[in-house]
Amino acid sequence: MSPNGQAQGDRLIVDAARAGDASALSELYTLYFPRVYRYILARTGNTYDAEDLAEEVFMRVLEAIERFQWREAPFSAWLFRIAHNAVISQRRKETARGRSSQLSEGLAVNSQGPDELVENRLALSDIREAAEKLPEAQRQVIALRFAAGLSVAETARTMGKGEGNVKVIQHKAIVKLREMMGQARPARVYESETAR
Amino acid sequence: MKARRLGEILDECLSAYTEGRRSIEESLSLYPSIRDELEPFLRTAVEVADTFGESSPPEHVQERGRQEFLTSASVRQRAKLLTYDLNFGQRMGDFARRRRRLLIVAALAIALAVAGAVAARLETSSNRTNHEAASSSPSPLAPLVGDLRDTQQQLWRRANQGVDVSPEMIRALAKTTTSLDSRVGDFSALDSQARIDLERAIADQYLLLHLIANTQPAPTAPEARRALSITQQVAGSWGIDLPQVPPAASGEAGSQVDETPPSRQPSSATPSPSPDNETPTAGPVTPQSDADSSP
Repeated sequence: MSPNGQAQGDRLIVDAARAGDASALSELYTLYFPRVYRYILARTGNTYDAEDLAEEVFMRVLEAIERFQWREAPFSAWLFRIAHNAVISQRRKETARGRSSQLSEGLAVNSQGPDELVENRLALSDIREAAEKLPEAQRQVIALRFAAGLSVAETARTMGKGEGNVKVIQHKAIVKLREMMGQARPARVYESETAR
Repeated sequence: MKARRLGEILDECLSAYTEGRRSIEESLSLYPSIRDELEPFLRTAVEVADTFGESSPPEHVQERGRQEFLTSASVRQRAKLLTYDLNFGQRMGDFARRRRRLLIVAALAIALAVAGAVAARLETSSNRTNHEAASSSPSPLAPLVGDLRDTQQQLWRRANQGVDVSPEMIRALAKTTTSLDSRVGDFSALDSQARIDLERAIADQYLLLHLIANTQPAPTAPEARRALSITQQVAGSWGIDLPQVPPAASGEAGSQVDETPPSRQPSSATPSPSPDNETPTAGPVTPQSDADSSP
């Protein structure tokens, strides 16, 4: 589906959800819950936090969706701002409690065998640890672009920055990640060069 | 400048890969001049994207979240509807209260208008009776008419002052009216002055009973309605046109009176038109003195 077609589809679903249509709400959840979950997982590194916070984000969406206005931002940007605020809020609470965010021992990844699970856990752990050392803007771009799967335009709207700026921040973040991850372990070998 | 350009190319290649448009190799072949510089970053970016992309929420977590989300949405929807219903109910309640207040004000205004008309009629009638009593010989009907007028005056004063009227007084009025009717016999045979006096007395009584039927509580109001019915029958038998009463003031009493068929046919005699027999208009309520009420 083209970006315009996707946006049009999103608009229909979001408008129906705003009117309280249960099937539209369910579809919205299906479309965005995994992306919100991945975004929060990228930011917190904890699957339990990601599960709880993703659910909390959707409750907040329910409270605020009537106030959402298309002219201000695309729905995805609005949604991930809520997710960002939820992560910040959680971080403050944990700081107050004196608990540091730890990677969960059991990263639940669907359809993966034990070897893949371990490999993924390590990879995610490496990336997470490396990303933690990045400045906030770079961490945010990495989480939005690679975990949430937002486009540059959506990431720019979410962060309130220009698209060119987002591309520069993204480039800097990748350069740093490359440096940090290169020191930790060799880059993954791609058996297949086919696009996913 | 170079970093910006590299950043844009990196993003373009990454987007092409994640959207399934090109492989990494295909993208690198498009930029041979910067291939060596681009490749490590592109591979790192793809690795990061793939790693995050593989981390999906467990199915049961997603399903549990969906159920909670939809349940919460449903509860909110119901709460919203309930709030709307309550607000609607409140609005309707306000409207009903305002409407009730308006009806009370309207009823009071009508009652005052009727009372004013009754007072004016009684005063005029009483003055004429006094004048006629002084200037001519008393009619054989005069004592009964006097009794009727006395009772009417007492009732009017009580009703106008907001004092409860006893049903016995209404019954006494009805009894006097019936007695008068039996004494009159052929109304058309009476002299013109007697006809005019009786016509005024019955017309005033009709207005007075309307006022009482609409302002007094039970059991006085039903008694007043019965007396109204008798008054209307007597007026019908004498061929008297009763004054018009405002619709809201007639209310229940009016409808009951209208439903009651006249028991006696009106006499063939047509009463002479009298200026006092016109539809009453609202006027100031002027209670009369005891001296004025005497026949």
